[in-house]
Amino acid sequence: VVLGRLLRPIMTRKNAWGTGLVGCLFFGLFFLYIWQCLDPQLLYHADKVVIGPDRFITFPFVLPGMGLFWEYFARPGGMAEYVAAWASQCYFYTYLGALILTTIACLVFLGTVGLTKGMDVPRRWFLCYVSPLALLVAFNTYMFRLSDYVALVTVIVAVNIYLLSANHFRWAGGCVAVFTVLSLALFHGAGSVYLVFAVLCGLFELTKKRRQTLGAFYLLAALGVPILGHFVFTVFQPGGWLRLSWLELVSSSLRVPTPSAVYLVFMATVAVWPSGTERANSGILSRLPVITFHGDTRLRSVLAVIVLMVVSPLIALGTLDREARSLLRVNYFARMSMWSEVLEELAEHPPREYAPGLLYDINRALFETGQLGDRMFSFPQYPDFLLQVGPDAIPHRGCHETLLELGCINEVERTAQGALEVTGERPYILRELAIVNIVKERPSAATVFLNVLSRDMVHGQWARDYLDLLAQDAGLSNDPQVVHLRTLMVRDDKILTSNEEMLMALLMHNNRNRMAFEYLMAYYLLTGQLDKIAQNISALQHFGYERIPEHYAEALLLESQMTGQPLQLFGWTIEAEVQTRFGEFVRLTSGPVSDPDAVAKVAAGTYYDYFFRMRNSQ
Amino acid sequence: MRRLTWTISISAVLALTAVLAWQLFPHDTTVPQDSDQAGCAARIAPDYRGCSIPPNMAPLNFVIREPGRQYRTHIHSQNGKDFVVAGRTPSVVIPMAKWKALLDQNRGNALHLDIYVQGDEGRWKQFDRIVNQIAQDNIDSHVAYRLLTPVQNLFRKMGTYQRDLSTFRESAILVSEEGVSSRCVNCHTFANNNPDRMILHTRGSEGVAMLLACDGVVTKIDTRTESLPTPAAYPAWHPNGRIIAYSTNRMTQFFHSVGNSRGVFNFDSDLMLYKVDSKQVATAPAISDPDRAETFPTWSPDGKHLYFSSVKRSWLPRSDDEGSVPPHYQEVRYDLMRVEYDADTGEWGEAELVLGAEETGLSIVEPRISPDGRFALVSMAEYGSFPVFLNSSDLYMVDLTTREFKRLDINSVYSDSWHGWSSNGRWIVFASKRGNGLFGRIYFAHVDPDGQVHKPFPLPQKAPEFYDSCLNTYNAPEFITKPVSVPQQEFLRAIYASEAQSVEFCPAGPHEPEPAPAD
Repeated sequence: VVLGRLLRPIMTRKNAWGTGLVGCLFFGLFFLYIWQCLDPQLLYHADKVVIGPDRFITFPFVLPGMGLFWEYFARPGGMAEYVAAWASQCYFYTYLGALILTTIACLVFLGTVGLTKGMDVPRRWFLCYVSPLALLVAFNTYMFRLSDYVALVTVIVAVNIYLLSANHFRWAGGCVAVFTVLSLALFHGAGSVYLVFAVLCGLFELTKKRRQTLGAFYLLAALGVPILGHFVFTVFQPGGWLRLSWLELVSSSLRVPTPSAVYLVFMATVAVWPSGTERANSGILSRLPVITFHGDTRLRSVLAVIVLMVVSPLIALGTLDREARSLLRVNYFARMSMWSEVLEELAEHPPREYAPGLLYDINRALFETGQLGDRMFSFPQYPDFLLQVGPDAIPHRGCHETLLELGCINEVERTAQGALEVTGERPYILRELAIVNIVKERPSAATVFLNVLSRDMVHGQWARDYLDLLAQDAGLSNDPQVVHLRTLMVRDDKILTSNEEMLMALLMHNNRNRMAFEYLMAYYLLTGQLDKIAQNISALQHFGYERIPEHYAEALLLESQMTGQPLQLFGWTIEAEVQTRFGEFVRLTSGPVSDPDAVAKVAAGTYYDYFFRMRNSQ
Repeated sequence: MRRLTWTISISAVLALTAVLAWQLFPHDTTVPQDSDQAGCAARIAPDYRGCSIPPNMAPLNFVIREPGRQYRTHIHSQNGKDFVVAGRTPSVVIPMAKWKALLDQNRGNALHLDIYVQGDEGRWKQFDRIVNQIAQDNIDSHVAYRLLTPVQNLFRKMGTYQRDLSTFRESAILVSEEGVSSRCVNCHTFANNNPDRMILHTRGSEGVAMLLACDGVVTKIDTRTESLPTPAAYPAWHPNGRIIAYSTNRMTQFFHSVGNSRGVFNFDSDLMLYKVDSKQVATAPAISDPDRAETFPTWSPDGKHLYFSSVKRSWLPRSDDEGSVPPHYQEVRYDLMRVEYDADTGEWGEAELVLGAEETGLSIVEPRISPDGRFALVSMAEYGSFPVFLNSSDLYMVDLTTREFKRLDINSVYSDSWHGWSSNGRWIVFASKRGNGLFGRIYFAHVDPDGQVHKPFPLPQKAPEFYDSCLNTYNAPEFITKPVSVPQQEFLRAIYASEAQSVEFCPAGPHEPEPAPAD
């Protein structure tokens, strides 16, 4: 209210330039914040990434084609989803993503300006800035669905059109006609969000135009049209009758997405708010001091702008979900193969929980930076989340990419095909399958994936380039990635039933596959097979190691301690620091543990800490 | 400002009109008079060259894979009105009415396609004529098939569909995701190619069931009994339409480290009969030998023999879905067997070997008997009972009189399997991965009275580039003489019916003749 009083002078027609300048400044900063802080490209790469308990991103990928268009077109609200899915592709270019989100906020702002004007809410311009700020809060969670906001914008535009026509037509029939046409278009395009439109139109008729019958009719339509629409839509589905429980029908019909529901409450409050000069001149509003500077209101204008510009950044930065952002940044770095950055981001912002998808990326980053054997137990580890293959494997992008890099071509193909079934046509899956089929010397199958991918806005050029290359050389014998993978992939047909068999097969085929060796050793560590770690120490020299990695050394010391056998080091030595720490650990745990904190401090991040916790949990 | 708005609006409308006019204005549809000879045949996709095509088939739309800026295809035959398909793109979309008229008037004649491509320099180039033969024999009006992604673990995006072969109309028979849960949809089978009597199998959260559709009524049947706990797998209708033979397989999926990723091993299987009228299941020692695994039943057209694939088990049986694939799985090869059966009395003869794997060196599976009873069309692969996953799988014709077998010339280096006969025995349909080794596509081939099989062609699609970006695989095509008239709702209603109809196990042996159906 205070802000409204303060802002009032700068929002008058007389101060149109000032208003415009403030708006430009506000949305300019809004854009910069989205671009630089929120970073929409994090979302583009984050399909199925978990950012908290029961919170994961589902990114809407979309490819051109009438088939998909009709799929969206055939359901209420499908068009808003379709438009949003297309717009979301722009997130890849983070400035474009920022532009889209800013445009949506700007449209909501302008639409709200139109509504408050149409509803004769005099000079409550400050309210109009509440909407974009609320949007910013929602965007800050990273969990927003763009389709909800596209639907909201559509509704706001539709209400504005109705208000314009209602103020234009004196005849109620004209208003009803406009309302009907907009209702049909809006229910089809935006689905249940239609309810917001009908309620706002109804409130407008009831409170501003005083046409009670029309208002009541619109409010009835707000309930009736979605229910009837969903009913008709459901009965035309082959199995629709199965879903025809009235409770389910009513609840799904009236389930308005949160942004629209919040907006409805907000605008309904505004609509029934006392309007007109008489109310502005009475009550608390009239008693607020009017700040003037030499008789005009410029000072108050300046103060208002200052308040807006101070409050907005506070809201923006105060509501940003930093943990989600950090997890998304880790995911982004992993997808970009920026492995050091993955570990740096985790060091700066360690998450509260480690989802399986994150663990694949962490292990990969540790391997790529040469630290898997030294630091893997500084992070939570589970044997099931080193690599997942087999029919029950849950498709994780990090796991696919690791399997591909290892040379497990058939395993990647299977899990990627499984992911295709589960998630649909994702560019990264199509890309993976194209590569797999090229490596497997099935260029025609690769071409099918590439043809689909070539329609993608972002990856289309990559696909078209590969199609050209395949046309010239079906084997792609000069492509470094393809050549590299062919040197790694196994050639003997076997039925592989475990990670160990798979990694062993890779090493049997190519005994220089260091990644397979490190993952095999990691598998032995995770499954507590100390004897196999000891057996493979002699192989370190084949892979160019200069020392025994810490966790291998810890496993050797543990094995020796537990079996009483002397250490077999094959000419290697264990670093003194590792030995000292292990000795300290043995000393602290040899009798009854008197100082658990000291044990925890010594054992932190060591293999034996993991080993004993694993044993105790079994 | 207003003037600027008007200027922009009018310009936009004019530009749009120009574009539409350019696209919609009839192209020059004459044969180029002055053209150079290319000296070779144009590359086209799909490969509709040298095929024998049914006179009632939808247009074989294709893409010309030759660079150019204009394309014309002159389609003509001995009789009827020829026509030219012209365009600025290499897609050749043939007008339905002209195509049908031309084919109908030229049964038994050759169909000619003369392709002209205009190069960048403006000269037309004429490629060598493409000749296809229009067969005398019609093909059945529809084909039913499964359409699914190459890997299915959660039964999403899978369904049984039917396609009108004289048009491009495709419709769903049963889709996995319809309803309130997902399910596997498989093993659609029709009595004598007639969809009035058909079955479908489903497996999912609603349970395992055989959906029997007889004259528009769908019944959900659970063929399992206490003594026979394995559900029905591969079925085959007896020609009398009252008995269904089916296999009960204990199979497991496994994964190869190279080549085709997936494999299937059949640990054990037997054959059973389901009697539609009495709702009984029965078996006999001849078809459920405990030492052998019998699978893929199919009836002779006279109903007097049941053909099947069978192998002597040399591995331990699997219990409770535990147990690994035997190491010698690549040596497991099935024989083609048959057994005499009297549908009136229910008496079985002795199982006899028709063609042994020892003789062929290959595993003989998926036998399908021609409507005249003369030939068995089979898949033969290096090993096993799941040829769709084996590149070595080829189609073979077995002469049931002489027991001679012949590998068909129509095979490819990739899997060719899931075959079936048209009701008149003049066409075969099969699924082949020849295009790319991964995605199965449906192919048709003409079989002349001598048993000669002509070059196959893929199921035509309205969009000529359809297969270039189709990520689904087609399999299990079956000819049907008319569309399945049972709506999907009826199948769903049966699936979600609370109780499946149970069956009664009838011990082996002769039985009372069943009454003939009223019609």
